Amino acid sequence: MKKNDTPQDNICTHRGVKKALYISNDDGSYDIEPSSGWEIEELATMQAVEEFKRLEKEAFEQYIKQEKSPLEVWMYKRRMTLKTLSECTGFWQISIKRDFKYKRFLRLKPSRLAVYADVFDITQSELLDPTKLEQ
Amino acid sequence: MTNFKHMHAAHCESGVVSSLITHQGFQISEAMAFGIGNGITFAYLPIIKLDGMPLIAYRMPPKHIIKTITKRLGLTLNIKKYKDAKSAKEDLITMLESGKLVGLQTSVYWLPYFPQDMRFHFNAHNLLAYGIKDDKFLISDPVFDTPQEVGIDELDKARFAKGVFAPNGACYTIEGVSKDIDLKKAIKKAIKKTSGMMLYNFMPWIGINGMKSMKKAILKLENNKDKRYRSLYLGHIIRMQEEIGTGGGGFRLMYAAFLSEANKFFDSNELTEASKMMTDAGDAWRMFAFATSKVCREKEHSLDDIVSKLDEAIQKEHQTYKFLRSIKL
Repeated sequence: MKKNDTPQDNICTHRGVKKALYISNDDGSYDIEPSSGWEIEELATMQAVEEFKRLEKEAFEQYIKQEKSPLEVWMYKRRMTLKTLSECTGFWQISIKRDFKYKRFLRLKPSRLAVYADVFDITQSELLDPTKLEQ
Repeated sequence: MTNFKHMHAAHCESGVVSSLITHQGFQISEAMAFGIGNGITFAYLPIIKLDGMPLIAYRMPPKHIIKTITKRLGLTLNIKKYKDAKSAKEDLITMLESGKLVGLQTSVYWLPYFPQDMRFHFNAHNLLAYGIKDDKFLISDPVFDTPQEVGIDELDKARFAKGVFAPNGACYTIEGVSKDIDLKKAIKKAIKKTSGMMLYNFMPWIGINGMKSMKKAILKLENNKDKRYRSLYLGHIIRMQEEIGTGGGGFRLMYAAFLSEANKFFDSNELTEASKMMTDAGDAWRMFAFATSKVCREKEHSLDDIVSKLDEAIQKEHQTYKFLRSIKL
């Protein structure tokens, strides 16, 4: 990549932050060139972000219908998957899956709720009621 | 600390190492740190999943660079881990007040200054703390173009994130930097090790073989009817290659800069030649990312273009390592 080829697409995911890219000069030396982003990178990042948003929305709709617990909404809101959540809480995936059920979640012990709340960095009342947040 | 100068780097770990060593009086660039630390690799591990996608890495696992370079240059790496946030914070403040430059391991997701859309659960992001001002830590995050300030309590969550690579408040310093470090010997060893790993690793997931495995996996997508999965899969490859601070072309361009810089330690001009070849490989990887993005956006439906661009990148990189093996340093 030459200096002139450095992408400067001012992509939204960067929010004005510049990333360092390596460029080669004509004399064979190399330099770092700050870049405001490449649109391809934006596409890939936004795709991953949107996928979490889509899953969160799906979970939220099911929560409103009282089919799923707010836990799943929070999980996707915090950009976690079942695997990540299991690694962060130390709970088995299968036991977290059970907590996805609406009724079961309401009966959970406060100690278990506290672990979830801590991992998401929220209070227990927020954990039980995701409608308080902007959707 | 008044005499600290923030350095903009492509990759967090090599940037932090380079700053830590340079600050103590021995000038070493990011690319040089990356090369000597054996940062470059290729791994395609379908058994290990990240957010439901196979692990694709263009670089060695976290901490590899810092451990390798300190070993190779004969430096001492002091890593400290903590059980609770309070003692970690107090210790950091003491270290900073005594004028030390401290590396920290953090989670990207919980860093307050990170742009919202770039936050994902990755627990091995490295940054430097270089001072305290008005109850704020002065932070030099190498992948940002300017230094940052973070409230004293705002780092706790990032330093004590849980899960894979959990940092446990890890902080580190490097000691034993002197003027008479022998870079030439370290470069020789590093190049030999890297080219050997890329060419001759017996596992089908590592090095050139790994790239070929990834090609096979892409070819299999042709029959996959789930359009969304296909698009996410290809997007995942682009992210690993271009998004996560790679300096462009999945670290290949940074490695080319290393080879070019390493050339001045040797009489022959062969490493400059190799660096040009590596730049070509890096550019080919970028072309591959560009072709991939077209399919992601569903502007293009056939995978032929992606595969031929990938083939080109693999072939160019293969040639470079073979050339590196053939020269006598």
